[in-house]
Amino acid sequence: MRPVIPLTLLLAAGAAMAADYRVPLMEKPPTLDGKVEPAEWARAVGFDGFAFNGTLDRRRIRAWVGATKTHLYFALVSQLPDEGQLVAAVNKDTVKLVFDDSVEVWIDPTPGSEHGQRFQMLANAAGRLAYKHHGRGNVAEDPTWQGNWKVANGFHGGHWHCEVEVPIGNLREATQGQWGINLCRNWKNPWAFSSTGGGAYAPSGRFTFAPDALAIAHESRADAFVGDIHHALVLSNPTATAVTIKAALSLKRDVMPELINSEMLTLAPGERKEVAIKAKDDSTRKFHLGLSVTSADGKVTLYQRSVAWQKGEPWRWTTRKKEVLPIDFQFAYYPYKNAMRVLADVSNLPQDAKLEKLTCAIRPKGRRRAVKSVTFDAFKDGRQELQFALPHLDGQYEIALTAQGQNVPKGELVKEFERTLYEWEHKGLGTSTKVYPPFTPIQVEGKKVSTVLREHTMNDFGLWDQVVAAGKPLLAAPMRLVAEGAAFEPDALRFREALPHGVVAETRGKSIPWELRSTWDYDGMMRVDLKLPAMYSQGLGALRLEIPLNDQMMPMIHAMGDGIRNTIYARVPKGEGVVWDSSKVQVNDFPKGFCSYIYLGSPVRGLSWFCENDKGWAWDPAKPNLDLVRKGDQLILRVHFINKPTTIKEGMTITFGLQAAPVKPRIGNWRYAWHRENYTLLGTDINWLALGDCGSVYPAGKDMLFWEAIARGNKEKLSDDEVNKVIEHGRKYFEPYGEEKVKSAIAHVRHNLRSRYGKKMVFYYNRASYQLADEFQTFQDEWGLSDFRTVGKGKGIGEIKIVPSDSYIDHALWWYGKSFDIGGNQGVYWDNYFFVGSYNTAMTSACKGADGSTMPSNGLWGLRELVKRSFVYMNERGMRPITMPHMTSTNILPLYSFATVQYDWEWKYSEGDVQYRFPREYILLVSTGELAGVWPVLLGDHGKLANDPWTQRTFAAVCLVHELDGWGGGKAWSSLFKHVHRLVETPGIEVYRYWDDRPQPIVADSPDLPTIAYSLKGKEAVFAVVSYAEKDTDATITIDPKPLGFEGGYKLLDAETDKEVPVEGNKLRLTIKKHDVREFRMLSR
Amino acid sequence: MRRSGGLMACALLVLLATACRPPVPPVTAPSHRELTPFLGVPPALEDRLIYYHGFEQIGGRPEVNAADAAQVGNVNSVPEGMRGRGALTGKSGALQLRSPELSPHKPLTVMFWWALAEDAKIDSGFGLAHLQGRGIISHFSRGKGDWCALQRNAAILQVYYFPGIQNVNGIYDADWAEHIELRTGVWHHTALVIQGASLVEVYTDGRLAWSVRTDGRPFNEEDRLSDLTIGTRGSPGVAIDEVLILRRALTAGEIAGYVAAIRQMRQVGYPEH
Repeated sequence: MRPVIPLTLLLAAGAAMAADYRVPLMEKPPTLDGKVEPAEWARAVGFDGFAFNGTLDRRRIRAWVGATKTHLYFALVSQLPDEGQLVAAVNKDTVKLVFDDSVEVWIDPTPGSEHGQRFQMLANAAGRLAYKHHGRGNVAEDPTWQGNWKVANGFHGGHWHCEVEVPIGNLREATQGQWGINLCRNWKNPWAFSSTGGGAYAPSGRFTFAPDALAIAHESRADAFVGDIHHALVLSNPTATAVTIKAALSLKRDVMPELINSEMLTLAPGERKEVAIKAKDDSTRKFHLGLSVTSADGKVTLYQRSVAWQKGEPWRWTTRKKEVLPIDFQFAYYPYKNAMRVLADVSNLPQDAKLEKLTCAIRPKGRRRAVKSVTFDAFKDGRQELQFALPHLDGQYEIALTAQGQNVPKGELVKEFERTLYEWEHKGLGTSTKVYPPFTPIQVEGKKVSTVLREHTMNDFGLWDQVVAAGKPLLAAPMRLVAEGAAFEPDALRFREALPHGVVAETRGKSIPWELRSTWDYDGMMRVDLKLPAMYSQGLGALRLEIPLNDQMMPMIHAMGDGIRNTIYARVPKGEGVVWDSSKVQVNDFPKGFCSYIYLGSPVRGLSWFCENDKGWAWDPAKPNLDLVRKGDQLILRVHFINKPTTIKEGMTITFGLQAAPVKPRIGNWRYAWHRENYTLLGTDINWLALGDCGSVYPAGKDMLFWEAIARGNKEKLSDDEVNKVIEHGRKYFEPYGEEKVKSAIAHVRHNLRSRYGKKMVFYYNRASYQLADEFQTFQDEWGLSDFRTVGKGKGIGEIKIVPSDSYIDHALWWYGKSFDIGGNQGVYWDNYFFVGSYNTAMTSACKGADGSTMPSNGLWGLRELVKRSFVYMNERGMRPITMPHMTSTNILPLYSFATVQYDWEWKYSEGDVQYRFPREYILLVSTGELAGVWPVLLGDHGKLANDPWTQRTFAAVCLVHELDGWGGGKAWSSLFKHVHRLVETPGIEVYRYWDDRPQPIVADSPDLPTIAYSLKGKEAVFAVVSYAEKDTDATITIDPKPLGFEGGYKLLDAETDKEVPVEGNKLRLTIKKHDVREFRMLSR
Repeated sequence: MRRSGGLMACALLVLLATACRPPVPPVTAPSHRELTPFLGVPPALEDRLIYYHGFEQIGGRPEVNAADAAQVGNVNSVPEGMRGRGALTGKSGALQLRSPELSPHKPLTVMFWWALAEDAKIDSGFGLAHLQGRGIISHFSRGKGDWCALQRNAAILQVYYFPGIQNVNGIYDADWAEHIELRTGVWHHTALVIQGASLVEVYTDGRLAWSVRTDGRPFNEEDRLSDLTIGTRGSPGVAIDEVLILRRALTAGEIAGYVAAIRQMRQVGYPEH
C-alpha cells in the first residue's frame, strides 16, 4: 500500500530536486516590520508563484530568501482575497495552523545527508506560530524544540507580508555548505498546499549563500493564467567584479511553439539586467516555464526552477462564501391545489444555538420579495411541518429558510421549484358522465340498485342486503356493521342522488350520529365513507363489517396486500369457524398481513371488498385485519376496522369499497380478438420512439415527426430512405445518453416503422413519469409516491412510479389524444398496474401513525380513475375503448372494471410445461379476465423454451381450454386454433367451459382432464381435452350431443389430423399424454 | 422636490452607513473552541466530534471516543495508512463499534479512508460502512453475480428492513470500477451523512455520490441503530484509516475541503501526527 504519487508530481519533484540557488549575503539585514520593502530584499533570491505538484497555484505570491552569516531571512508576500478574508481560526500555537491560511518555512541544514534534521515553522496571518522538529536517520525528533524565530506580519496593498528571521548561529555560518529550504503557503478556500519547491514540503531546493553570488529573482509581470505572458529573470551583481552568466527562459506550450530566450550576459559590478519573454497567447492550454541561470560555462547552477500552469479565465479569489443555514427541510408543492408543505428539521444547529423562529419565504427565483412567508415556531423534537396555501404561481421559485435566535448561524437555506403552466391543464378530458357500453345506466328502484349484470339491494346500514350477480344471489344474509361497547343501529337509508352514472345514498346512526355515505359508480363499484364522531367517549371495543356470503357460491379466494407475484389465489379452506385470515397475504409496503383487497367467489361471479389503506381505523397490526368465518352455509367475511379498545377523540373516516362480479360483459367479439383482429402492442415506449424509459407519454423531444412516421409506417410501406431520415432526425435526442441508447433508438425506429404495417397499434404507457420530463418538475409532488420531493432537476429517463392524480390524468389523456390523432394509436396500455405503496400523504390516503410512521396507500382510487377517464375519453372520441392494464398476478376489480383488455403472464418464462406454471385457480381467478370483463391477452414465452415445440404445445393447450388469447411459435398454435378461430368468428357460437356452473356437454372421467367445447349448435362443434395429469392417461370422454344439437348423430374427427375417430355410445376413449391436448371436431353425419 | 429630497436623504444615509461601517479585517476572528492535538482532525470538524480513530495509539484505542463506543473485537494495525498507521479489515474482522450515540435519529456523519488490499476483480464485493439496528443502513460494493444480476462491481447504499420505512436498494453505480480506481492501495474516502433523520448521503472522494430521502417515517431511537461496522469482513481485505464520527451532518463543502486537505497532506508528506 505504497502511496501512489501522480506522474506529474514525480516529474515536478525531479525538477525540484535539481533546483539550486546561489544567494548573495545581505549587506544589512532587513527590518522585520511586516512590510517587505524591495530594497531590503535586493540581495536575495526571488520567487514568483508557488506550486503544488509542479503546477502554480492561481493565487499570487512572491517570496525571497536571503541571509547574513548568522541569520537566514525569508519574506513571503501573498495576495489577500479579492473578496473575503483569510482564515485565521486557530487560536493556539499548534501545528493545526496548517488548517488556517498560513505560511511555512522548512529548513534542512544538511540536505541529502542520511542522518539529519529538519526544522518547520508555521505562522498564520493572526500571528500564531508553531514549530516542529523532524529527525532523519539516527537523529531523533525533538518534541521540545521551539525555534523562537522572529516573525512579523503586515497587510499592505492587498497583500499579506510575512517576514521571518531565523538565527542559525548555533548550527553553522550561513555560508558553510548548502541549505535545504522550502517556503510554503497553505491556502484556504479552496484548500491548496503550495511551495517554492513545488512538491513535498520537506526541502528539495538547495541554497548556497556566497558573498560572490548574484541576486536573481523571477518576476511574473502579467497574468500568465489568461495567456498574458511576461516572465523575467532579474539579475543584479552586488559584487565588486564583473560576472558573465548564461540566463535562459523557456516556455513550452501544448499547441504553440516553444518560446526561448537564452542570453549570455556580463554584469558589471552593481549592474542590473533582465532577460524576459513576452507573449500574448490565447491558444495554449498548458504552459511549462523553465528558468535557468548558470555560470558562463554552464557548470555552476545559480538559479533553476520550473513551473507549469493551465490557461484559465479571468479570476478573482473570493473566500466569502454564501452562508448556508445548517438545517434540513423537505417540501412538496401541489400546483393544482396551490398549496405547499414544508417540513423543517433544526436538529443540526450548533449545540449552543437558541432558535427563536425559522422563517420560510416563497419567492420568485433571484428576487427578495416573497409571495408567501410562514414562520416555524413550535418545533417538536427538532421538527415542525407547515402546510399553507400559495397564490397562483408561474415561473421559477425558491424556498428560503432563515433562522433567528442566539448563536444561530446566519445565511439561508434555499431550494428551488418551478411552476410551468401547460396547455393540457383542466381540459376535463374523459370526465363525461355519459354511460358507455358495455355498461348500462344505473337504475334505482326502492332500495334496489341495478348495474350491468348485477342487482344490489341496499339496507339501512348503506350496505347490501343482497347482490344478484349474473343471475345468482351471493349473500346468505344482509351485510352489517357490528360494534362492541356501543350502540350502532342505523337510521333509515336515504338516496341523495340517483343518476344514470352515479348514485349517492346516506344513512346515519340512530342513537349516535355516525354517518355513512355510499357512492355508486356505474360499474357497480360502491364506495363507502363511514364517519365516526368523537362521541364514543366510553370507547369502542370493536367495529367490524360483516358480509355473510352464501358458502356454496364462494369456492375461491383471491387476496393481496400490495405488490405483484405474491397474491393469493386458492380454494377457500374447508372447516367451521375461522378458516382463513389476512395473515396469509404478502406485502411489500403495507404492515405484515394487511389485506387491502379480497375477492370471494367462483370464476364467474363473486364479491370483492377493498380499501386504500387503514386510514381512520384503529386496528391492531398484530391481529389480522380481516378473516373468514364459516358458520353452516354462511361464509362470513369480517373486516376489523377497530379490534382494540379505542376512544375516538377526533372524528375519523373509514373508507372502503364493494364490487360484485362479473363487472361487465367483454366488448366486441372478444374471443381471441387481440390475435384475430391483428392488434399489436408497441411496448415499451421506446417502440413509439420515446426518450423516457417506461415513463413517457410523448415521443422524444415532443417531436411529432416520430409519431407521424409511426402512423405512416402503419398505413404504408416506408422506403429505406424514409426510415433513415427519421433516424437521422431523431439522433440528437438520444446521443446524450450514449452510443448504446442511440443504437437502441435506431433499431427501434427500423423495427417499428416497418413491423406495424397494417396492424391495430396500441401504445405502451406506464403509471410512471421520469426526471427529464419537464412536467414532472412542476407536478412531481402531485404524482409521485414520496411524501416530500425527492427528485431534483436532471436528465434521468428511468421510470418513476406514480399514482395518477387529476393533474397526471389531465396530462396523460391530452397526450394519449395526440397519439390517437397523430400516431395512429388505437389503445392505451399501462404497465405495472398493481398496488405499489405510496407514501404521499397529500394526494393519497397515506397517513402518519402515532409513532411518526406512514401507513402507505395502495393508490387504488387514483389508478382506477386513470382507467375510467381513459375509457370515457376514448368513447367520447368515438373510439373503441381499448384500455389495457398489465396486471400480472392481480385481478383487482375496481382497477380493471373500466379496462377492456388485460395483459398477463409476464412471469415464469420457460419454467417447464405451462400446466406447471400457473395453477388453474390462478388462471380462473385472474387470467381469464371474465370477472372484470376484459379480453384475456397473454405475453408469450420469452425464455429459453420459447421455441421448443412441446413447450409451445402445452402453452397453446392451456390457452385453448381457458379461452386465453396467447400466441407463440410452432405449429401447435395454428393446428389447434384454426377451427376455433373460424368458429368464434361465426355468429351463434356458444362455448362450454369446464368452470361454468351449468352441465357440460363434454366431460372427461378425470378432474385432471378439463375440457372446452365451441359449438355452432347442430352444425359443428370443436372440443378439446387438456391434460393436467401427472402421467399419460387412458380416459373416457362422455359426449352429450343434445346441447350441441347432434341428437341425430354425428361423426368425430381429430381436429389436427382430420381423421375420423370412433365413438361408442357417446363415449370417446383415448390415451392422452401428460400435459398434452387433444382436439376434436363434431360434424353431423 | 420633496421626492427628490427624500432620495437624496436616502443616498446620504447609504453613504453614511457605508462610511461608518468598520473595515473588514483581512483575517477571520479566531475560534475559541478547544482543539484536540490530532492533526488528522481539522479544527472545523471538532464541533460535535464523537469519535476519531487514526490507529496511531498503542493498544488500538481511538484518539477520541466521546461516543463511549465499545469496540467489538480488534482490527489489525498496519504501518501504512492514509496518514501514518492504518488498520486492515477483512477475514480477521472489521472495526465494529457499539454505541447509542451512533443512532441517526439525530444528524450523523461517519467518514473514513479506505484502500483495497488487492485489486478488485469483476466479481469482488466488500463492505464499507454498515449501521445496524432494527434495520440497516449499509454502504458496500458487490461484484458480478446473481445478486441483482450485477454485471460488474457496483456501489450500493441500502436502507433496509426498517418497519415503516420503504426499503431502498440503491445500486447507484453499476460499474463502480469505471469511475473510481478499485486497485490495491489506492486510497478513497467515504462519508455517510444522515440528517433530518431521513436524508442519507454517500460521498466518495469528497463528492456526493448518491443520496436518498427515505419514505415512510424518520429514523427514531427505537430503531436502535447502534452497531456500526467499518470495513469488510471478507476478501478482498480493506485497509481503513482516519475514522471520524460527528454528531452533525457535514456539508458537501466541508467534506470536499477535508478530503482535499488530507489528500494533499499525504502528497506533500505532511507531518503525520
